[in-house]
Amino acid sequence: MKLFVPALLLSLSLLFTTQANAQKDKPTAQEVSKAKTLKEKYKDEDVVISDKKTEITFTRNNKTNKVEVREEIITTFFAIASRADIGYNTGYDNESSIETLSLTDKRNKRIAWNINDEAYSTESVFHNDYRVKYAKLTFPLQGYLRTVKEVKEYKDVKYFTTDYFVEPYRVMKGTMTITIPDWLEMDIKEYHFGSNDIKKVIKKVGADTQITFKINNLSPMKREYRMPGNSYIYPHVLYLTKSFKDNKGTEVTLFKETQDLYNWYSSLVNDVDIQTTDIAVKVKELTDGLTTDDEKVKAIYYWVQDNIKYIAFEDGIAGFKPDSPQNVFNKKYGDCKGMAILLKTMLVEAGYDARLVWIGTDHISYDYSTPSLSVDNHMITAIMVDGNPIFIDGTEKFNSYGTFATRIQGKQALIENGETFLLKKVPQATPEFNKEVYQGTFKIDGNDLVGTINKELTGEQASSFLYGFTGMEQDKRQEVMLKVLTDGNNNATVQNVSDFDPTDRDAILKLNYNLKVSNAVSSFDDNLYLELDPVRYLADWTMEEDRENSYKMSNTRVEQKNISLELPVGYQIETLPDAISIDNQFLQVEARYTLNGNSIDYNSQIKIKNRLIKKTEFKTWNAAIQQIKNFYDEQIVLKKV
Amino acid sequence: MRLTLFTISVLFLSFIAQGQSKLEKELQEKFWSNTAAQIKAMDIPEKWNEESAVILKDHRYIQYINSGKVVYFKSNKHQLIKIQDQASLEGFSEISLSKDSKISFGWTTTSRKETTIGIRIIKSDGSISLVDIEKEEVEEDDKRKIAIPNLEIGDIIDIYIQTDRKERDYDGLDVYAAVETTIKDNYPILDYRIAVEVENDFFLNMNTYNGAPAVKEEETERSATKMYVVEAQNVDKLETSRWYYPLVEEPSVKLQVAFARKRSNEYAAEIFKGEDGERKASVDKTDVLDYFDRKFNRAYSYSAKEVIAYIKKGKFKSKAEKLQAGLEYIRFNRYTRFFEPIFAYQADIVAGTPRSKCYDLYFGIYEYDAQVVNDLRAISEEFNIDYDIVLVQPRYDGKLDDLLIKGNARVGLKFNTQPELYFFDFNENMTLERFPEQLEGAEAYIGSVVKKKNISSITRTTLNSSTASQNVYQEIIDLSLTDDKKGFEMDRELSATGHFESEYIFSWIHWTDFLDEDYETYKDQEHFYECGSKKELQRYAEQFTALEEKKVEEFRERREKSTDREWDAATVKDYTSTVIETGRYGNNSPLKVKETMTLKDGYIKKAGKNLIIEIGKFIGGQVELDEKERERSVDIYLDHAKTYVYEIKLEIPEGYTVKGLDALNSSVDNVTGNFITTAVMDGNMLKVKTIKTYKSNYLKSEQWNDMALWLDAAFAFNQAKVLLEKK
Repeated sequence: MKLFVPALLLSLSLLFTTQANAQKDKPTAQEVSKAKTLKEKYKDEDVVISDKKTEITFTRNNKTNKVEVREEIITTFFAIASRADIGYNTGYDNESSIETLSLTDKRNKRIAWNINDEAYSTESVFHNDYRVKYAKLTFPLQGYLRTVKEVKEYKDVKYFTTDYFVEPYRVMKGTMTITIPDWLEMDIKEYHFGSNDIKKVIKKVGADTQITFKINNLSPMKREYRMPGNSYIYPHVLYLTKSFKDNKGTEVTLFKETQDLYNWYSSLVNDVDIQTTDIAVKVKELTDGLTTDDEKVKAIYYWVQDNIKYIAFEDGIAGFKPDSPQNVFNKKYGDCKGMAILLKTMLVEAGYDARLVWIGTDHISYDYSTPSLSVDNHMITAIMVDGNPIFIDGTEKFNSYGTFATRIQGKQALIENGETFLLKKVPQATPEFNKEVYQGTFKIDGNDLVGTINKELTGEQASSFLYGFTGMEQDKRQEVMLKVLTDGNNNATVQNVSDFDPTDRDAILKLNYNLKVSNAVSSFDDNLYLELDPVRYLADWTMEEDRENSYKMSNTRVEQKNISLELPVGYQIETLPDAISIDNQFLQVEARYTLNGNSIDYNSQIKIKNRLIKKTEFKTWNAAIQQIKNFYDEQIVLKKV
Repeated sequence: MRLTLFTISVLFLSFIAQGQSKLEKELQEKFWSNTAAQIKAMDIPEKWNEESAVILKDHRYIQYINSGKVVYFKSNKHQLIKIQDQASLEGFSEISLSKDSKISFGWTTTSRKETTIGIRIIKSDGSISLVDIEKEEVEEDDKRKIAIPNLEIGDIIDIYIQTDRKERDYDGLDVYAAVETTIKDNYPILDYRIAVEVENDFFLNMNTYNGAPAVKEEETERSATKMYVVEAQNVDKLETSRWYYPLVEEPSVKLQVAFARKRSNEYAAEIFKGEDGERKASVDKTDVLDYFDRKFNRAYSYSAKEVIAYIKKGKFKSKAEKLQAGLEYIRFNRYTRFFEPIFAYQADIVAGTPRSKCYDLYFGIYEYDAQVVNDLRAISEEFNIDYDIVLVQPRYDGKLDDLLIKGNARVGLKFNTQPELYFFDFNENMTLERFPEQLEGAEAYIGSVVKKKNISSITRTTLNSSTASQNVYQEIIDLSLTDDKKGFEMDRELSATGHFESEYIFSWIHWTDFLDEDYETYKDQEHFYECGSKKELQRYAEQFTALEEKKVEEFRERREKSTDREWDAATVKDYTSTVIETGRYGNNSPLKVKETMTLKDGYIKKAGKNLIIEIGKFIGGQVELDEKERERSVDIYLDHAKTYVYEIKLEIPEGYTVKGLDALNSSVDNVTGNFITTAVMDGNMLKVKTIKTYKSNYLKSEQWNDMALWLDAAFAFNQAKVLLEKK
């Protein structure tokens, strides 16, 4: 008979030899009591960081002529729950390495630790050089302490850009010490310290400058759906490494000014091998016979949107340097940089002044006043028309020329300009740009509402619809579209959708169809009860009470409905719900029912004015949503004459 | 020395490199003999123009040969895929393979796998674009990834993948993974072929089903091998349906290869074995008898000594009670009582080898159902209980006549007691009261066991199907309006019997619940944390209690979250859940839990001064048939017959009267099932009861319309409302 447990026990016994000493590692009465007090205070938390010490030092590597960074982080975790099992993870790439990763108990005795090391891939990036080391941390009882020591090294200070003070666990106490040698010119920019207890102390240690941030009781960071990017909310520092003196005393400029950042980007771009023979043939084919600039630019822009797939390789320098445009052209795939350089090359070939543009999407809060690799994460193209850029983004699959995705609107763009650069903002669209309009007529058929809807979509409402539609297997498109047009209403069925051209990015997307909403009408005694809005936009958008972060809507937009219900013969209105009118910092809502001869007109307009719903403003938002929900829920009552 | 080694390895590497390129050349010649013009001339039926992609060619070849102790497998796949839309373009643009591997000990290579891949693209203009694999592929840990360049809608991908595998075989017994597949795929196929070549000392089971073309034998280049082939043309894509078993309805192929060097190994093989090198196409009574003969010797009574003594000591009257008590004893003493030390080990609470005096608390867990089967047979022999050995193919794998792969067959025990009892499933909730739903109504081979003799006769029978009244899911719901009249206070008792019990036990109760009950039942049993040194005793108990607390807390959070998801139009607040009965002991006792909660802001709508209650939402989500589903040509395969009962009591607040009860009294009942609802007022209580019955686990496609009637009725009731009229 096979023995199941012992086999496991024996094979792993070496790994867990620490358990023999576990009794000495046991929490003291004071530790348990402290853990209990903390748990009482922070009910949803199982582990806190009782102390986190970070020490950052810099050295010159004379061989590579680069500044190297050593970051030593000692984190002591403290279990406040009856038991806790958590993970520790840290990432590295071609430009960095994890030199030490070890675990000790509270007596500083080393604990054997099984560390995994894996390539970290995301769905959006086909291949990158990012790897993650991770391991398990176990706290068998309340009050246990475990300390992790991590040493991470960067081969080039250029890639050492930010440090966050927050962790997934509450940091009770901590220090971050940065020792800046006199040969290194460096600024440390502080973000979102706000009401957080973070104090800065600067002192001289010999020739070095030592900056210490002392932190106290920082709430844990939390990943939440549609939260703003980390750089918008969490306290952190941005390292601006401007220059250093090499061992001969010669100054080497890093990113002193935005110009230096541009120079480096520019050097990478200038290094790209560009062969235009095949591209020129394609450009000619696309623009032949076209007369206006608009037509020509659109022909090229839309060809790239349609024909170049987004497949990203972010391996080493490939994370910053575009692939050759001819490679992207021949392979029919590329990342944002590849698409941007192909678009530029094609447009230049067609005779336009096209430039590459570096930009940070709305995930990043910085602008180019801080020259750092953290400022941007995206590349697009611009065509200069009368000295002004018109931005085009090859990664947006259904963007009409002259329109810009929400994620780059209002963001500062760094535009190529030969030796120098231009800084311009991408125009901000109004909520009216992203619009959904429903015009419809309904009548009552038994328990159902039946009618026709003419729906018009513009802006991102149209582009996301077309993206979803064309990305679907063609044999399933019709079926899925019928489902999508029910707007999530399980009782609705859609039929006879009018034809439309899924490749036409420039037109308003118009969809006419028949809609039936089953069981929308209830009949009790002589009365009919019904609600007219089949979509109930925003009714379920209540912000959860326990949500920690602000909420960022995908875009600002307008939703309009003008629906007319024919009164059934022999009925008159008993009750019409009261109109609502809301106008606050996020929303403008007007919705009303009116009797118009033999029909009830339902007119509503909801405008989302502002994408960001701050945590502090959830109450206002939720009150408005409740008002909207009540309006939808309230029944129209028709009485038999 | 170092230099020599270096030279050898360089030579070896270059040999491999040359070998690879030679192989590549050979494969290209073999697979890419057709010109672009020939490929483009392939005649694609017009009806497939609207498909996402069309597979013009899907050829698969598997070869098993051996030389001495080394077994060589070669498998290759050659596909031509026409990309017809953006979805398939994106889907086929990226390929990921597992990396080649080599396992060696000293100078001996025990296993080596080499994968060769070739990709070319036939462009719509008739040109050919060859993919340079070496240049295009990237490696990530154990993966090889290729982003296929220059692929566009309208192109045809011509891809082959060959894996050459070599295994040094030590025990002379290998049963290779079975292939069981419908010929249809996610895309239509113009030309389908699967070929298997085996050397004469391999066993091959292979056949086709449900109207698929027959297996043909083809000549091979080797004298010692045989090749069997299935070919099909113009195969439409596989359409999936609700309640559907593709391997029962769709043309399909099954095959499995095994290799046994010696007779004695053949004896142990987990296959229905045919003759060396000859294709075995079906399994009959003789094969099953042969299998039973090889697998079921006399029961081994030593391990069952304890349980037999326990039964003898107890006051169990009937044979059925003895068996039931025996299984419950085994379930705890040979299985669940080891859960605590296992969880403690997984949580790093216990480590290393335990003290020898505590061994009994850690060692002796049963790992296989065969161990339970053995003990149950020993019990039966001891107490003269008549039993049979049953071999059955689950319903989703096809009829008993279509049995071919041993791995599909489930073997269990049938006890001819009153009532009949069965043993098939080995887990922490194992019971003799029922057997897996997939076996219900399936035909089975029965091997009758005569005491202390081998099985000598095999008969066929159809296993019983449980009835709708044996599998009942019930909710008893008490509702009252919250003070603000925007939500509900709700108490509900959930109960599950029969297969529902097996289905819900994992989500409704936590392991601490059933272990507490088990230890309470077998009071003498020590816990692992009651044995050890003084210090260990304290540490184990403390840490294990902490573990239990934490796991229970996590379980409660999960329950609350899943309950919140259940009520999507409201928010669940103040949730509590209590286990009333686990249903794990005794006869047909239900699993029962009680919950209380507040449903905030939902299922109530204002209508002037009146209120509309969405009473139908309290019977849970109902099947919604879409237009496409209403036409059905394939039979209906359900999990099991079943009944859903909801008894809802709604307290009507003072000052209101209820309207709309008439619509809540309805009945649709036919041979396939029913949906029956009643609603009455009892004082200030509105009492609504709904019963939904799936009368059978299988219906012919012709019965679909009958079934749709009561499915639709239940969906309609889901929308039902009542009016609370202000007096």
